[in-house]
Amino acid sequence: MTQPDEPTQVTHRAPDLGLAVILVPVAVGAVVAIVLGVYGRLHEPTGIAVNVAGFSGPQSAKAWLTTLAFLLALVQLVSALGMWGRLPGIELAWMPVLHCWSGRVAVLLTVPVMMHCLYALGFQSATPRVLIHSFLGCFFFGAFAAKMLLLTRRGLPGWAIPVIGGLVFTSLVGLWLTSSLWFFTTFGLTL
Amino acid sequence: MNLRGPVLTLLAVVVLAAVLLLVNMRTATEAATQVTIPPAITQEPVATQAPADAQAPVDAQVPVGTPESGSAVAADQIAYAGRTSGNEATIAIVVQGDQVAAYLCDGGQVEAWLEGTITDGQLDLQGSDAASATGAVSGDAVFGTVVFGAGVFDAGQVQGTQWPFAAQQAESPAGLYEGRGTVDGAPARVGWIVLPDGSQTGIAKIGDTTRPAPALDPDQLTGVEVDGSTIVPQPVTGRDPVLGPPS
Repeated sequence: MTQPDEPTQVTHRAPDLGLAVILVPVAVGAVVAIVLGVYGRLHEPTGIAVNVAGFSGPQSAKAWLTTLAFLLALVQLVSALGMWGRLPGIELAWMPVLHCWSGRVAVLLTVPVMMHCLYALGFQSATPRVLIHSFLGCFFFGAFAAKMLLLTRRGLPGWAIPVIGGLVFTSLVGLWLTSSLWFFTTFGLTL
Repeated sequence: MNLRGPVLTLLAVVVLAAVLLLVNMRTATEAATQVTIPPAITQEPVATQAPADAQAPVDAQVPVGTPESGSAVAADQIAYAGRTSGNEATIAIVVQGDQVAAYLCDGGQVEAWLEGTITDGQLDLQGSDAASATGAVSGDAVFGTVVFGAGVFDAGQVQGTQWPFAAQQAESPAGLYEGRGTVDGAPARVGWIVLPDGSQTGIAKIGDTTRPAPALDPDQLTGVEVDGSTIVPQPVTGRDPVLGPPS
């Protein structure tokens, strides 16, 4: 009796389980993004906050940190393709290690930028660039949190990690375009 | 793949963010304390003027609609305001105890924040970009010279220039005001000099660009619109560290 039942149960439950497994991390990520946005909006910007030393100003420090993170994000994209077997002829055992550590360094580089943005500048909407940047900043850390949590789950649908990873990557590229690229094209490549 | 890895990554991010936030909040609190109590020694020159700590302590000190009321001006504080001898720029000097903060600006391009000490009536001030000033108190006036070091502003003729100046003791609302904030994502700092005759000059520095500051109403220090953002002006005291972080 039980033997024929079990497979049907498993196949019946599998889709539900898959979605539930995704929903919680995504919900946590959404909360992270919303909390960051609300904090950035409610907290009175100070105009100044701790930052990385050695640059001519807080803006250039952030522009360069974000650029480094952006370059590492490109490494992320390539190593992710490698991990998923989308780089023909390339099967490197250290692809996952490269992906993991380039990602860690990249996100840690963005944290001082994020804190400076949130504390000194806040969530702003004066121009489209600033609004998009504010939104993407919150979205990026929400998506990142969701991705880290998703990685700890088993039984994910095959598309889950590529989709969330793609969102993290895309939002970081958007952040770079609306900040570093804008800064460098406006003020020049100043250190 | 080690499933703890992502959690550790997440934790590292959270911890780093929390540490940075705490450092920021500590800095702001210290600065706020500095505004209310007679300030102690050196300070992170940052958030003293920042709008964030404008909430409780500063509001209490400068009530809306009250021109930097008597309570805001420390008893041992003397402000001087005047011009350079060729009328190139105005200058305001605020002396509190042996601490001095000063600002020189032409209302357009040239500005210099200076700070230093006064000993036996002799002023010795240093500014950013190797600007400096010396002067001497004589009666109710200060006479001195501002020297622009190399690398000050792009205007080549300013570099290395010396401007003698004279400044007279000035009663509130004349004096020196400063506002800091953010304009279009860029850190902004505005300095105003109000002369005893009520005329004023000011420069808004937004990012790396300077421009004439919008008019300041010394009786309404609630906020000045700069490119759509509100900058809250505050009277500068002699002990304020006006040489901000390098930016």
